[in-house]
Amino acid sequence: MMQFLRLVKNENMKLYKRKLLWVMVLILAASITLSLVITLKTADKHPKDWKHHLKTEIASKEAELADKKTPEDFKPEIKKEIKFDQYRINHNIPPMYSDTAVGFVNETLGYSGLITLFIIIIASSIVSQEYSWGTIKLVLMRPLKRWKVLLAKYVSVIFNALILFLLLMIVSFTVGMIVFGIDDMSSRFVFEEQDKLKDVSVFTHFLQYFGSKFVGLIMIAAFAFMLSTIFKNNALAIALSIIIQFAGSIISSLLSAFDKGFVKYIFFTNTDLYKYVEGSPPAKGMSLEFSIIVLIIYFVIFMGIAIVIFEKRDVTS
Amino acid sequence: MAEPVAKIRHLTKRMGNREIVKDLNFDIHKGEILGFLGPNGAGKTTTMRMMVGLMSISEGDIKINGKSVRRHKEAALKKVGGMIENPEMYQFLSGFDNLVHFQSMMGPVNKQRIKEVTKLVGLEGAIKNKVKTYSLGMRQRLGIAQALLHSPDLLILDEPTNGLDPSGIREIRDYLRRLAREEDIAVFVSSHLLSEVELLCDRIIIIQNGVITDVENVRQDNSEDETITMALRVVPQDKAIGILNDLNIAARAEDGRLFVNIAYKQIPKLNQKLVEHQLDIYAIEPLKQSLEERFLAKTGGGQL
Repeated sequence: MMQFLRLVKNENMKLYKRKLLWVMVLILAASITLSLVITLKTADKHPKDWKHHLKTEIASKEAELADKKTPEDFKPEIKKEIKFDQYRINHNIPPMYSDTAVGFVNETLGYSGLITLFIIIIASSIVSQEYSWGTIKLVLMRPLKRWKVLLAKYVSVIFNALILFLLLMIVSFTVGMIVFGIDDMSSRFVFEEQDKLKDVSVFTHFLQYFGSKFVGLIMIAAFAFMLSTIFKNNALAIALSIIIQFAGSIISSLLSAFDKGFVKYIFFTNTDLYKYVEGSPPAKGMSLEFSIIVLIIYFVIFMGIAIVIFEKRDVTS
Repeated sequence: MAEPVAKIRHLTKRMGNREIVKDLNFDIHKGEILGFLGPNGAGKTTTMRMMVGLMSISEGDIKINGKSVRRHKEAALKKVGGMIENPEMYQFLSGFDNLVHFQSMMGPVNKQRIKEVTKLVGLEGAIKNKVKTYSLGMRQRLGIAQALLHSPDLLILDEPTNGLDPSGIREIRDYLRRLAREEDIAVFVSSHLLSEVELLCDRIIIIQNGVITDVENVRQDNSEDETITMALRVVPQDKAIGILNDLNIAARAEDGRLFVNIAYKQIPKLNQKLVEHQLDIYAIEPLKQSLEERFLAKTGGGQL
């Protein structure tokens, strides 16, 4: 166990002593700053009496609905907004204004996608670069099992992904707190789950959001990691993983449009677990439990293939 | 003789239909520098890769300290240090961090030991600098340092002087001699340069097309009874031949020299006789066929 931790520490050292990760952290910081600037420039200062404000909002939206000039297509959206506003008034939950600390964190949640992109790049190169550097020879002539070396690399990737997620949360919350203060914080998050409105504490909401994104990240990182190990080529691993990460949902919704039964068994149909919190499952017959089982099976396959190939392959120049 | 550190038996490597290495058998002993000489592509690197577990073994086995590389790779490689081909280290890390990296793969980091090996290879001054600033010679030395970190019994070095200038080559040679003598390490060094191994090694294995064609002792002491060929430069020559014939020694004159086959212990007596007869002796020297001549003879004028 100590030996394994030392291997992970080695991988972290190799990551921290290069610029790559620090450039990523910088990009993340720049993105948060950009969000802050946009929020400061565009968002009006949120109203003191939010209930009164919401009531006037509802009145104007209802007037819009009654207006014959409003296109039919817009109406469901307006109705939904009225439903949310009414729910907040009834349950005494102030809206999440983006010029509050919690609201600002909520604004920056989307940057988890950026982190996923970074992690794909790291996972795609962590094995193949040892081959291109030629250092793989010195690594694999040590008296230890090859699979341990490989697993330590993956664990290091996931560890650093977790660090980036926490960093994003902590930094944006701290910035939000400093800039917008800690009062006027909405402590509950309202969302729609299959046509029914529900509310949870913001803490639960952030945990659910990051948790589900993190599961997706673990999967796509395992996929990229496997490709990197098979092909000893990071460009290919990066390209394929990014396509699947960012076009996967389009591909699976296209496929499910043809009503093919196998779509629900494809791994990238299952990676976004947040759909089970807000929204709806991408294909028929899917549930949270179903997706988790499918993901576990895929994970074992990805890592299994990587380990078997890494164990068996002769190291040649 | 003590049990050898490494025993190589029937070692064979096949890739596809080709046999890269065929049925190699040899031992490596403590305190010995064994040379592995052969033209490029003869199978030297492949053999070494199998010895350090980078390549699977098709047939046969390698035992290091009695442990099979094939079946118990981790146990067998515990006391093996190596450098295969170029000394490729992490360029973006310092020499020190590189050593920390490789040491912590084998056990807890021991800064004292890192200091020792750094001193041994003479890199103290540059160890905190990034490897990308190192010269090739420094990288070679760092490569040897990482191989020595865990105090191995067997050191496997593939072309350790490749690309070095003469003074660098000399330095490496001196380190390796010292290691073998002082630390009693078995050193296995490959090279395609004959002059190189001749200077460095105690014993040489010659490999060609994946087969061992010869094993040579470089430093041999003549035993008393052994018959060797001596070359004599004596004036006048015909008088010398007469004296030799009286002693029952056949002599053959060639290029102004006399060649005689004679027992090692008889050499002083021969000298004495010639002096007694007041001949002018310019030289009496053993006719050593250089390794190069023997090597070329074996490989049929072999192209190295």
